[in-house]
Amino acid sequence: MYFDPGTGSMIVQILVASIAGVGAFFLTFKTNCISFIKGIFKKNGK
Amino acid sequence: MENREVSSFRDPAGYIYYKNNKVYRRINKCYFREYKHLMNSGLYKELTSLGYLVCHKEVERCEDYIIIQVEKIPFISYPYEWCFGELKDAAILTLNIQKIALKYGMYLKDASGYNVQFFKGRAIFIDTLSFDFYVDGSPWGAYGQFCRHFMAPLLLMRYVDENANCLLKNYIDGIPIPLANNILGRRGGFTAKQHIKWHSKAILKNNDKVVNSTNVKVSCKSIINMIDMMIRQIEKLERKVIFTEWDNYYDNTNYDDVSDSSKIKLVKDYLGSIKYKNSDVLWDMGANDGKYSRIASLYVNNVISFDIDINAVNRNYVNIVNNKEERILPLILDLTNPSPAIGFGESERYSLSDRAPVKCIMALALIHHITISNNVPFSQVASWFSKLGEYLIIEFVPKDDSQVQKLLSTRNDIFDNYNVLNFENSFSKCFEILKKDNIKKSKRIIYLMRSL
Repeated sequence: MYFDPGTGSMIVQILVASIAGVGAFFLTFKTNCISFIKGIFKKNGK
Repeated sequence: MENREVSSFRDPAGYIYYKNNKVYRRINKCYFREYKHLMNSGLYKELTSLGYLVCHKEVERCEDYIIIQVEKIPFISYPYEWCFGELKDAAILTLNIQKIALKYGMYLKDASGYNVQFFKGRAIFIDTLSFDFYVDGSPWGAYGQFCRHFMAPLLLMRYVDENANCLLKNYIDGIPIPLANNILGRRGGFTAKQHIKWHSKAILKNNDKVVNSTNVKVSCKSIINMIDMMIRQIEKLERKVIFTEWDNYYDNTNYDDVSDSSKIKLVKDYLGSIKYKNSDVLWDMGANDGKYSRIASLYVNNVISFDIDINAVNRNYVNIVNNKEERILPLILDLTNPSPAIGFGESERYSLSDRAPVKCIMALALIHHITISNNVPFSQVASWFSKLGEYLIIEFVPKDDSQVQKLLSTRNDIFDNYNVLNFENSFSKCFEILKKDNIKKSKRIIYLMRSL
């Protein structure tokens, strides 16, 4: 890198990235639940 | 002769220069490996096919350097001139590029707002040398810069004041995070908490400490999660609904159908009498939401639609995006205090005048705002406009016009010289008046002038 990335910015990134990881987990969980429920209704619909 | 871009000095990987009205980028030997990977890995192909990165062709190669000719952007604009929608799109583009680059084992080593420009109606990344090899486990070094250039101004524009990106004129490397934190206070929700509040605390606590960056580990997957989260957070940011002075401008003019179509016909006639080249640019000053910019774009390839009103500029930009218009670029500009030159040696970012002269300036229903609201004499307006463009299409609004009367209703009328005779005399010193026509059913007059 040709500029100082800033120690504070590097450190806070660990925290922000961890939160994003938790968010991504719940987002995937939510998407899977929705598609699972949709799948049940589709089967029942048939 | 080679003319080096003054602002292209930070990155040792190469620099931009101009020759025969074309744009070139020199790539230094130290960047050969990265450039080769960018070109051969498929990253360049994916980014250019998506319209995310500016195209180039290699024109020279030797042991010490490679020269590429880069597609020329007709008008260089800056983040402090963009409306909320433009800054938001530029931020999302930067994050999308970072995400795609990671897929190819590279990342963005910088995330400056100045790496993005608007071309053919959409945001495009212009720095071909911003890509570096990603080392597994290393955090995104440009995260702080991204927050200063995009996240902080967007949050301030959304939660404090939509004109807050004007702070970028003072802070060339983005709004300092502690400053953004002080202004935001408790506003901005969890997004501001993460990228501004905690970030600010971390900066104030740690920036004087020497920390070995190899000790800070963030996995590639975590960076991708973070980028995805930031894209979602920025996409969710919507403009606050505010009412501005110019919102119903076209409803409140004193034009009826006859005078309106007469004005459109005259403007078209004047625009059609000028001969343009493909690269020519027209500046529509005080364009509101771009009604006349759209007419101008039928004749000129590149129309810059300037206005001071944030609602009007945003409306113009939304129309451009929705209708996929390619010839108009809406920008925020206070004509009574235009963008100055900023940066080292006052030459890193150009002033408005530095980006002139253009082929044509259009100043419709504007002169009374400059002359009466801001007390600028006709002679000074004429002198400035003559430096900005070769042709001028200007509308004179007489004193008994309801719009002028409205401006005078709350102040003393100190404008004895505000009449058509003085207007013509002042402008004749800098311009040759080529055409002059009265707008039907109106006392307003339109002129086509050519700079002397």
